[in-house]
Amino acid sequence: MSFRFSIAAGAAFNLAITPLIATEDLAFFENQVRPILVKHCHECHSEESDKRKGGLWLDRRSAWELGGDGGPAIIPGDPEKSLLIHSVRYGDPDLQMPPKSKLSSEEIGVLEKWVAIGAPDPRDAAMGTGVRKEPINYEAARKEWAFRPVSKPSLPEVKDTSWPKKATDRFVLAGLESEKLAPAAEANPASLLRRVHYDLSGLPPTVAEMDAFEADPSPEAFERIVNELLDRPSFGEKWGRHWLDVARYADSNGGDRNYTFYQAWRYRNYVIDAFNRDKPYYEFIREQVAGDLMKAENHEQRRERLIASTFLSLGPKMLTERDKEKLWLDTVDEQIDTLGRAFLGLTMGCARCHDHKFDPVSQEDYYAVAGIFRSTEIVTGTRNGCVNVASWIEQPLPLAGGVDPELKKRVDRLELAMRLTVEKSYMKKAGGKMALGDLPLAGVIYDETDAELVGEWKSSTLSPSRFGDGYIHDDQKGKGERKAVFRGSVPETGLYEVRVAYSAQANRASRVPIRITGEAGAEVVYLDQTRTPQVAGLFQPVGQFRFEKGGNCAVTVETGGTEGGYVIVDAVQFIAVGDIDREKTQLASAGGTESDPLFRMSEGELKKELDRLIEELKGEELAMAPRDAKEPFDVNLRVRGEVAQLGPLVPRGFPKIVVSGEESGIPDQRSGRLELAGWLTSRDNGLLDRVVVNRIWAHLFGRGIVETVDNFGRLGSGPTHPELLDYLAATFREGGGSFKSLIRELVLSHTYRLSASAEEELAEADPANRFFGRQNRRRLTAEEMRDSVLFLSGQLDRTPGTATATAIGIDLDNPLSFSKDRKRTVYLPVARNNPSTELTLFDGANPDFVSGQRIETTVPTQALYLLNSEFLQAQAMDIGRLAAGQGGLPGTEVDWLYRTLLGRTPNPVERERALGLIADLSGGSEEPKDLEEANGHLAHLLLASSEFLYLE
Amino acid sequence: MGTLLTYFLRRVNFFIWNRMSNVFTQKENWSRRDVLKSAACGFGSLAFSGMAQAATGNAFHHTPRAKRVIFLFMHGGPSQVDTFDYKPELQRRDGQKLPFAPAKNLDPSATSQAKLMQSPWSFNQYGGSGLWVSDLFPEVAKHADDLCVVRSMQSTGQSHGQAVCMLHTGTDNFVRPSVGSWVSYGLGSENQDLPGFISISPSASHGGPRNYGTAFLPAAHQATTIGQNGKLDAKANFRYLASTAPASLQQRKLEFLQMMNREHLGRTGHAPVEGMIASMELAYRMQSAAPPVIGIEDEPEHIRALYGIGTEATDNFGRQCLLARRFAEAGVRYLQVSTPNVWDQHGGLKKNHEKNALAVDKPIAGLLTDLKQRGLLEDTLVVWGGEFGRTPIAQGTDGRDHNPQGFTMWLAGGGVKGGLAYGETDEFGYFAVKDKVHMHDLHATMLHLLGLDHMKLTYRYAGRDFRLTDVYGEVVKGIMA
Repeated sequence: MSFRFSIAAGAAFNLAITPLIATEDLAFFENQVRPILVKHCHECHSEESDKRKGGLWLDRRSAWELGGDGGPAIIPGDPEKSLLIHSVRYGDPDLQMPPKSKLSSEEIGVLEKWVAIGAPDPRDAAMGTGVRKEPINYEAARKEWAFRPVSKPSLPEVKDTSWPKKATDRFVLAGLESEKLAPAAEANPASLLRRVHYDLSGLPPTVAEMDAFEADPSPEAFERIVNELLDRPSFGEKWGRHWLDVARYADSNGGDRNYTFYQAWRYRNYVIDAFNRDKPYYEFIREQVAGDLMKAENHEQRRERLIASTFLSLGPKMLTERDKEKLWLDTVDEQIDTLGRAFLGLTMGCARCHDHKFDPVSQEDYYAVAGIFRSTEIVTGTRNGCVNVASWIEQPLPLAGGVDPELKKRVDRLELAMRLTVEKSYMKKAGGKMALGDLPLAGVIYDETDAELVGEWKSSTLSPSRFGDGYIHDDQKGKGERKAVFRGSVPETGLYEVRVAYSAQANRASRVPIRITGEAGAEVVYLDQTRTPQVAGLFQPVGQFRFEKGGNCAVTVETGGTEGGYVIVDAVQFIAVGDIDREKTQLASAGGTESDPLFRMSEGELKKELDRLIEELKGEELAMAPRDAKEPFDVNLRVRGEVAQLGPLVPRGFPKIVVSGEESGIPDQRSGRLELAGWLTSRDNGLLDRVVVNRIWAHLFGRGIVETVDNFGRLGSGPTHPELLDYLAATFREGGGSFKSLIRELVLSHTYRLSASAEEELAEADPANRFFGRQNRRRLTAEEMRDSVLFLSGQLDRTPGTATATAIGIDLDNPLSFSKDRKRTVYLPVARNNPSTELTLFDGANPDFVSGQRIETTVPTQALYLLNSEFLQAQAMDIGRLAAGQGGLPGTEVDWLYRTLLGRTPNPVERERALGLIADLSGGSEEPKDLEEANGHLAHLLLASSEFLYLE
Repeated sequence: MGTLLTYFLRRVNFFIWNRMSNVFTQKENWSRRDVLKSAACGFGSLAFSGMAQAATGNAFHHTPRAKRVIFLFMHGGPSQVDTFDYKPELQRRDGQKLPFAPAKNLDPSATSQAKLMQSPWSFNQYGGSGLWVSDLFPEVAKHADDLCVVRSMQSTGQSHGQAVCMLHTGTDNFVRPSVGSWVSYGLGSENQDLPGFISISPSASHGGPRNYGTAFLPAAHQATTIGQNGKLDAKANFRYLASTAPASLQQRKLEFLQMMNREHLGRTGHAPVEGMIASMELAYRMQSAAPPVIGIEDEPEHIRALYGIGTEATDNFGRQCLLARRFAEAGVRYLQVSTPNVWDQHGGLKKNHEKNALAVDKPIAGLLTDLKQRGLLEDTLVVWGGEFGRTPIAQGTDGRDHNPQGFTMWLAGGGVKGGLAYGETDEFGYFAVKDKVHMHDLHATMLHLLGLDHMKLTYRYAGRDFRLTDVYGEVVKGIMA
């Protein structure tokens, strides 16, 4: 039995009048019903226990009338429709109460009787205030700082008009002045140069660059350096990595099967490239959400946009989930959660199970967007030949002349192989039959020998047109009594065409009742067996029905009212509607030479072929891009987020908090993703701009104006400088969403140039630096550490990386080692579940989550790494050898090492100490080899020092 | 101001395995003002805003019954009806059709027939309690009176990936902190030189490190691992622990480095640099503290034999169990010990369950004996089980499919009743029907025994308070001693 819950039900019970209760009913309630409720239900469902699980109380009449998340608990007089009875009967594995142990049959009987006689209940306490859920007030929410339209504030007045260099400085200074604080002094040129190099390129300046800037530290020189840094490819490598953190980028699935995403790297390089080419942010977002659906001017743009939409496919998935509907909805959830946090700073995923508790996102909002993503195909087929282990979609990339037809064919063939593998292995396991001979019929087929027969049926092989060895007929007797039941099983929940096979002849019955039992219940259609079936002359489609995996699935051939003709029972086929076209094509060429050998392969052969195709295609020009489903559809709201608990159908749409010009609705035949992308980037969606400018600010100043960069909701921290935030958002929008312009503006500001050390007074007054009166120190990121070490040893390979994960294999289950790689870290594979130690130790982004800002932890394992890492020590030895070429006198080598690694010369005490160390470690030896080694040890210590690791 | 100080100490605690406070208290010139200054402007206050709101760690919610946990994870899913859940009715009705509907989403090769399959092993009653144990576990059976056998386990996830994550992290589909990370976050380590959470030979598959990861909890609570995929090499060590340099060289270098760092701290007053200096010292101490614990070679022969070390079949898991005892003794809070992914008998049940049980039976019995004779069992909670059980209906002729609907796990030691069989499955051992214990409930109970309230041990991340048991979980009072 399946229940559909109505959310709207039970809205108007306020005025319900407690009916008068007959004395014997009252006695029955008090003596028998109340004790059961108190003993077994009140612990979780009463005011007294302070628990209201599933939103339900059972301690008063008004409470069960109102009901919980699933609607009213009791329909007086109707036990069969009452959720309370449904759940205590324990028939539905998804809804059993009490949860720990079933009630005794006597107790269940009492409750059934109680409901049947109208549920007399004298407990007439009111529900009290605050119990019923208040609907979200969007009107009010749209006035809050995060959601209201962005308007560009005027620049605030400041006392010290000579201090601001850029407009943004006025906001910062005004804040400081209002607290009677003075900003810190400017950082010294060496610190500033090091800071800006790391912030814009992720690498340290060279000694030559230091010399030049220290000789001319003028603002003009600094501006030239900034412009040059913004033009270097390393800008995209640094800032692209920031975005990859947000996009939870990885080269493997993680989840339960850590399959390598062979094509993910294209997305990574797309991101790096987008930053280097300063792609407008709005286009960047639209391409990632719906690039596959956008029009393209040429094949290059088409390629780029397909690759961009990989964003949606990149998440971790539980590919082995056997309930594929759950897999789909979990995938959708991951997409919504990512989209919400990445673009809007909203935890939209919270609304999967209930209206968001704090922010203006309702459960309906969630399922409106869920419909869009559920109508987008990402997960499909099988990766390894097992029906339970899903794979994902990849699409061929176009070349100048369009998509290479050969490649397209191979990709289609891979999908066909997946589909056939699922079908075949499922059919075998489910007891279904293979297709007849060479006839490439799709789906699951049951022969008459699989049917449960009622009454007497006669076997026959008279007609040659038949499926399998023979068929059966009713001999025109026992009309209405005889029937044949095919109990089927489908590999995944979805829409199927049901077909019935029979050998047509004039003496057959012309109105044979066929009863189909599916997800929606039973339905009867009539079949004329005098007419030749349409599919291969054998199978006649009788309609399309939804079947649930593991749910009701039966086709019954009946005989009632068929007097005057034979009823034939031969076979029944369930074919997924998506497979009909493919079957048609294949049937047309059946038996001919062009028929694909895949159709004739055994399950084992198919699995091998599948492996081969995956392996062959991994280096080809493909994108891990999604595509719209052929028949987009809306999804039901899920009560408490549980896949099996269907609520009302929610039309596809956008969250109601932002009203934009894009409300025209989503065409039936489209998923709505393209429209969603338009809604997201609409000028009316100020949240998008606020979130992105805040992240840019946070990357450059160490803390966001809104400290919780990924949460702009009520539980976020709120802005310290709301006007500055809106000023940046408005400017960013005016400039068309240019990252480089905004970054240039901010880096050239006075605020950016400030020293990280503050005067006592400022530090005392503003210990958390909420007013940005000084710069925040930060540690080098994991990537910056590794890249710097290679850069300093002269070994960094500056050419962009390509498919670096392909070399590793089909999964990324084993720990990766980067010790032999010389490319920038951004190009190295990111293995979910198994990221390289260097990345995890120093707080690299966790690719399972949107991460707009990294945390910075200090743990002893980092110290162990710094002391004992073979990579670091070997690199330090190489740097030691480089030092040996710098003059020959021990003092000059020490000076060179300090200057190169730390950006400064040692003071006399430090020089003495370093020379002492070198003398100790070389044992006083003057051998070049020993000195080189000692220099290497010094280099190791400088690289492991806090001064190297923390940016001023 | 007391709260601020506590707050700061908690932050310190979490970044440095929670015994940093004594490093600071040793500093003579560490004034209250310094504390406040560092607490406020210190180590990237932005990064720790999450912590600031959620500093629930390091405090018992009530008196603990256990100080530590050893979780013996049987990867793949051992069969309850062949081990600890004796079902005479299943034996009697071998080959008959299951009289009710099988679970959803099973492999159709099991459900299309749905035929009951008896256990190939016989069961006997053991100890004063008369607990039923099959012939697969003759050694563990001798500890029957210490075992608290929960026969009504339920979990979420019909496939390994989901169920393994469910067991380790309390969710079958999201990325969440692992149980050990929660415990480490809640209680820290008892030993300042060792991590609070160690995973011995964890699997790389079915989620791999995610099963001992911290997700959004601070990275310090991630398990330190030794060995992998159920194998413990004799030379296994913590990563980066072994210094390649001679001790004297390292000491000389460390001296230099710490001098540099202290000068840097003096110039900048940057609190994380202070943390780095302390963590360097701790790392250096760990280098000498850990190896003696890891080296099981100095255990006397009779103890090694007790665990089955030296006998081929039991050597590997025996070493895992002995190492677990040594870590437990040294004060590690949460120890995860994993078999390889070997228990997944869709076919070959007879042969492979026998082989798998043989490999762990003696080592586990040895562990229980050893913990007991050292007085450690009283406050060490031992938990045994897989991610799910197996169906009483056959898959093929000699196999069983996954069954999270009803299965058995057992607990022993710290605060649980020995000799108890708790909960029931139906007459065939398929669905849990009485006193059901969901994996969430087990997690809640484990935390409870450790002195933590699963409703209160929360962490705020991305605007929400998360807990191990999500919105579920009830402490199973019926199994408490």
